[in-house]
Amino acid sequence: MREAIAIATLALAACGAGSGEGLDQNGQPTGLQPTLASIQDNVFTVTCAVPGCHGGTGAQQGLRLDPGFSAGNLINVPSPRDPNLIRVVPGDPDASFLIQKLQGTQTLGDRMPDGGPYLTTAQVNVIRQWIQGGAPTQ
Amino acid sequence: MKTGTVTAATLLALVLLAPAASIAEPYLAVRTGYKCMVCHVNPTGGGKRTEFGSSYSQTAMAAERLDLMTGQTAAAGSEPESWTGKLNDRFAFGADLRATSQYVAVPHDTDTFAFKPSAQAYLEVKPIADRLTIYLDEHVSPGAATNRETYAMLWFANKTAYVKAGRMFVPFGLRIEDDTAFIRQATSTSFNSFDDGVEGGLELGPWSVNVSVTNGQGGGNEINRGKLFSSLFSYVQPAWRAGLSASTNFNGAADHRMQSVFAGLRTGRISWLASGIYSTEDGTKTGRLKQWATLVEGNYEAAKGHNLKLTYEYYDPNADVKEDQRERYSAVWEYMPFQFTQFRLGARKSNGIPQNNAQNATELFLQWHAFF
Repeated sequence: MREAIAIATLALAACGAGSGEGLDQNGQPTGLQPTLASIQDNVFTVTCAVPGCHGGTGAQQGLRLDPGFSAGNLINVPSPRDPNLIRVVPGDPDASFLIQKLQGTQTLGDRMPDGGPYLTTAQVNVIRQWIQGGAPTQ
Repeated sequence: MKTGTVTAATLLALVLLAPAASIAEPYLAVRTGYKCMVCHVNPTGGGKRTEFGSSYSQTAMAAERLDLMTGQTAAAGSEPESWTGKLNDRFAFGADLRATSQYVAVPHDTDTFAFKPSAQAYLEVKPIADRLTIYLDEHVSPGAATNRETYAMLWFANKTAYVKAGRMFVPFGLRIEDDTAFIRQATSTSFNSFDDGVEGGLELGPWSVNVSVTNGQGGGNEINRGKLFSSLFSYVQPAWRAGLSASTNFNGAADHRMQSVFAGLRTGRISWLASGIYSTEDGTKTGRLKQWATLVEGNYEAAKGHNLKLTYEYYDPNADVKEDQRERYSAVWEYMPFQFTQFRLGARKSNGIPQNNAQNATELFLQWHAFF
């Protein structure tokens, strides 16, 4: 019995502390995270919300992705070109037009960002994770 | 990781190879084979001791028994009286006072040394013997007094079932003394966590079932219709025990669920405790937060009045984030020289991510625990 307990104890002990690699001081991952704020800072603002694309008052398809505008223009909002295509369906990344456009699996229009370079699979997966988690805005 | 494994192996070797001994909380229940309610007024443990629990601490836990009238060592073969805080058949008092001196060394930061007193006072009123109890648990120091528990408890069915209402510690998991343990912190079920509501329980032979419904606001004002449902199931045998716990707290916007599994085992002079908790919380900034924590503890009774407690803990604060795990090793020697007095000398080493100094602190403490 003691041997079994010893083995179980050692197995637990072997877990060890994390190396902290890729984390900030609070243990939160640095870089792109599955939050709207992080996606805004790391993707929308730097890649999408640029003049002539999805930035400013003349944003393409009315999809303005500047800080403070993204949630209202994405979550449960249909595409003006096809009302059946919802840009972000909370909890369902596969059904979200945004994901389809980023992955290149869309049935309407071009893959985004227009002309590339496209987001990496890892980046898209983080956005999928945000949507899967209900697309929280906080 | 290798350092952690070596340290754990060393601690484990100390536990397994050292000669046999002990004192305290759930491990005492494992050592004696008793249910929590045998030694505590609260059926789920903690707080004021019962008359039996107080007598047990005086007769079986202290290294030496003093004559309460003279303060001298009781003569061999004599049976000195016990004092349990009982005033009469209706009223009984109790108290815990912990005077702690604590040294904490944090890498790349200023070391601290502090005195930290803490005191609780208990009042048990029994208007009807073995049926109705009115109970108060007041944190009286430091700072302003804080009520931790105030409830009325009614026993029925030959004291196999009870219901209580008021403010109480919610029944969940292993209620160990150390509030800083990961399994306590991650579940917010410390002795500073209480809630207002009702609790019912069954005590059927080796089985215990405790279920509560409370506001879920930690004793604060209720702000929604959601409630905290918590449950505790345990099976107690003389040499071992096992239990499960589950709770859910829906606050109107997000759900917080927790599960716990725990066990105790006595092997000779060692009383083992093990527990694991898993928690999910919706509505956080990053969506669903999943956490888990474990604890393994060995309590070695070296001699009457002496207990060596060695503990290993592991904590994953976010299961979706890699390399953020924490662990902690503790070694505490508990010495009870005579009745009502316990000294605790301990060291804890925490290991966390290197960029967070506080997660890698080393703590030394000496505590004088006076109680009745």
